[in-house]
Amino acid sequence: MSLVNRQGGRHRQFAWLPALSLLIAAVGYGCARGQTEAETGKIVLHVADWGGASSDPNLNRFEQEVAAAWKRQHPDIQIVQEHIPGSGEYVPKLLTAFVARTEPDIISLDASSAAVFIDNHTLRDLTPLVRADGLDLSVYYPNVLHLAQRGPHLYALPADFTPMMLYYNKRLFDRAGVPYPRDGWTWADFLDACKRLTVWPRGASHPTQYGFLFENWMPGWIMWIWQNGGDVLSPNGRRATGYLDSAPTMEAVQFFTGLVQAHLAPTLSETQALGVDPFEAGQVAMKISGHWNLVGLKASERLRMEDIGVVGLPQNRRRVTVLYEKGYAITNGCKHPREAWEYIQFLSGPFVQQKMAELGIGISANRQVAESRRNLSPLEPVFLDNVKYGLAPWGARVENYAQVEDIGKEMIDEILVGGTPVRQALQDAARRIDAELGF
Amino acid sequence: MTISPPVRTKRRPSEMTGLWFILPSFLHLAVFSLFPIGFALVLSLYRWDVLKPDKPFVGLANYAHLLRDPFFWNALGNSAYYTVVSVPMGMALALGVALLVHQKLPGVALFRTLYYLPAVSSSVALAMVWTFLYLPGQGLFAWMLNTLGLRSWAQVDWLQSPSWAMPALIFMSLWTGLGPRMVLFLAGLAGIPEQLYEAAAMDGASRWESFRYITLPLLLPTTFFILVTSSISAFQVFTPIYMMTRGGPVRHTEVIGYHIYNQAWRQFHMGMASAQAYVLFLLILAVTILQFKIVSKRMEEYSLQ
Amino acid sequence: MIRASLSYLLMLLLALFTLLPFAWMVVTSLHPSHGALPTPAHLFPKQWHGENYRAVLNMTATPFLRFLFNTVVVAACVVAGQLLLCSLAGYGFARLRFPGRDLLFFLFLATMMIPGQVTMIPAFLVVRSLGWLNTYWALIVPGLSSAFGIFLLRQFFLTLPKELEDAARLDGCSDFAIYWRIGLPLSAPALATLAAFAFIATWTDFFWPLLVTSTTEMRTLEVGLSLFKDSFGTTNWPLQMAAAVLVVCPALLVFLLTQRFFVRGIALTGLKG
Repeated sequence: MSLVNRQGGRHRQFAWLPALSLLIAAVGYGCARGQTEAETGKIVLHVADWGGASSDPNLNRFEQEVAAAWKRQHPDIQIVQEHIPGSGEYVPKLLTAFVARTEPDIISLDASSAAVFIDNHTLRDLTPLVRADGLDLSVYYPNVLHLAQRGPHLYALPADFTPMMLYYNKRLFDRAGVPYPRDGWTWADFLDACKRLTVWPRGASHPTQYGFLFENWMPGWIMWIWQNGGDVLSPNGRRATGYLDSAPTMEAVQFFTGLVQAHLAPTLSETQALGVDPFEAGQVAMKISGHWNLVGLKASERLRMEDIGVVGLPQNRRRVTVLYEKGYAITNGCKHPREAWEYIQFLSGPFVQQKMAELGIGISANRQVAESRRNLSPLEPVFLDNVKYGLAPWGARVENYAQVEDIGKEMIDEILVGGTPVRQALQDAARRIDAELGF
Repeated sequence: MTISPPVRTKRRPSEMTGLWFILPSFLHLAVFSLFPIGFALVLSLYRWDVLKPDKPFVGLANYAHLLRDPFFWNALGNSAYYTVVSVPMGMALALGVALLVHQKLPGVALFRTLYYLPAVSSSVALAMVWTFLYLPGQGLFAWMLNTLGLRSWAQVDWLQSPSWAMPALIFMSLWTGLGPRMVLFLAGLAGIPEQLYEAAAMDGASRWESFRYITLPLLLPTTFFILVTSSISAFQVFTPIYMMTRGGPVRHTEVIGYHIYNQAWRQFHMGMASAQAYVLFLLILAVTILQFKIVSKRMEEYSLQ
Repeated sequence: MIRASLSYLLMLLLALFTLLPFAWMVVTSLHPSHGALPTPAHLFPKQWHGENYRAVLNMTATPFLRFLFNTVVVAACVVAGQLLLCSLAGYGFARLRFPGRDLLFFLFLATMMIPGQVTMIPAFLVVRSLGWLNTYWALIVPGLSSAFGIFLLRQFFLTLPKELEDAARLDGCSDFAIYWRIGLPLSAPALATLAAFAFIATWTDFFWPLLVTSTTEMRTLEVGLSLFKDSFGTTNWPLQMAAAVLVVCPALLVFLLTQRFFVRGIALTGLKG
């Protein structure tokens, strides 16, 4: 036994290690689920939104006012806001939360990714709640409300939205002696303006001013295809061959990529060399964007609001634009659907809508609120009058649309950077999309 | 009648005790390794989208699809490119460094420790630092190129360039992978008896000759071990791609590890992802067997000497 | 003599190359948050902006202290688990005989060759169905035993002289008592090595915690750091570097304190051809 005793002392130094770990684990388990502790008696609702914690004082003030107003009306329902930062991270992180069953109660739903959430059975159908409360849905723009509808089922109450419009720099137009774009103008008018607004001094390696800013962001260029009568997918959203590689689509892609190839719009590397926002810097005369752009431009020091004009997109065979919208949805895992319903009605209701519209990021989906702001600025009526031309983005209907957009972006890169002929690039992309969607 | 002692038909106690000793680890292995390996094969025969209620059996459809999927082959190709370049280069570098620090010079232990630092540091933090180093114009490498007068090279956006993104990642992997490989080579070098070198020196062999005819052959087992383990982990590389390029630009750095992650945890197609993982597994197995065959042939040659 | 100085020169250059990213990380973290980035010409800022660190620690979207707590809990439990389970199994494989012993050991070894992608998907689904997603269980239990650890400790236990065992058996000790009172204490260096490896491996583990955690409160340091990078619209490099320094330091510290175990540990495994 002497042998054992001599060694026995050394082993005792290990004995505390498992015990300590178990203690830590036990303490840790107590905090295992990691949900915010509810103040006693209150119901807690977790609301997810995109964008990191903001440094914009207007946005922060808005959130505080909304929170204060809610607290006055419903002191027993506590709202916990979760911001999910990172571009392109919102949808994957939320889906991960759904898989892990740690999803929030309410989510902000972007129309261009609505299908992902709806088709994965993550959102609660609001129609029974609408019927029970007799909510009048006609207060919303119909084509905006439709974005979150699937037949008779409604999955989100709309908050704000925007059609995509064309912004132009009046000063640059004046300087070139080009008349401002008229409502209902055509591709021919647009091309002519581009040519006259591109300034390429003799001997310079590239233009010092461009007519148009082309951004390889599919949500921003798919409208050209629609306006020419083409599309990227079949009506049921399952096939690209026969649509993406059809003649009208090809013409449209030829048209807008041709702008870059003719140096009427800067290439990707030239855009990067120009800096953060070439339109704001007065280096491009026109760009396509949504209502949100007004916020940044208002704060700009280089461009005055009087110099900015907005007009509907130039048309060809059709006059259309696309609508991007944000709404609020209740998740299926929400344990307090009634309270969540109260909250999203509040968010979608006139009080919050008015405050949100004042921020200027989007147009309120509530028609009355939106129309009441018609005359507050010369640009607002232009947005409002183009809403009726707005179509739903594919992402509201097709679950895997994000992959289609990835392939679409690569396709344009192949044409502009790789020099692939348009027909071949479209056919290759169509085949790849079919492989992704068909499976 | 003679009385014979009772025949013990029971096993000796220690024969079963051993099983008790390994039981906890075996249970753990069963749940987290053995069962998953089988379940992954089953999964690969289904369309298993985690959030959707129906998960139909699709047989070999997943495999048929991935064989025709250009993105899958692109990912495998990228992984092959990464492995074939980073592993031999990394091993050569590690061997060189090992030879350097194998010498009995004072303070050598300090250098050994230093070279191991990247291997134990947070791979996420290192990815962030290297992204910063690779910044065009502002990064440290850009500054160095500028100082050397290579101004146009200083403007290259390494991680966004289709031709340079992968080499940039490979270069970084040499830096992070140096430590463990170096230590393994050191262990191998320590196993070579000194007398061999002394005998060779007496026979008039040059340093290069003793390296080529003593060191290299006797290091073969170690080299093989490092080759296999480095290749396997190179095929599974994930964190640098996730943090630095997300598979871009235009899928030029989308390696198979990242591709499978995307399938399984971004798009939640777990059946398809499992099928892809199995194909990867078979590929790694084939490569390892190939490496084994090549090395054992070499080992035979040397033991015949 | 020349060879020695040349060797030192090379080693020094290599050391510089190794340390450069770390040094750059630290230097940048001390620069002003929205100012110019350092160059070797302007290495140090006029003022050392230590407040970057405070800013990082105060970020509510990425609470680093909570991440630290989570990581410590997980690492401690995993290390404790591996020390116990791997030593038991290693001892069993090394010093006890039982039917199928060598086959089972080979099975353990073979699983080390399976790529992670194969096992992680089903493991994730298993953990999910157990309701363990986003809890400490998911982070700890899969790491409680490792084939590498078993291999390491088996190698060590094989080196113990049989006489110790025989003497103890004569004294009437059971197998478990021999393991607990003789084998384990003698294996302290090997255990320390395993502890060092397991600690660093768990501390720097990224992929699995990324998969199984979904709320901020449960994230580990590595995952939290990756989220930190997302939190910025335009990248704020000094803050990012400060966060990186915070995450790297504890593991580096542990490594420096235990570094001799790493060299020895790898040597123990590498010698098997």
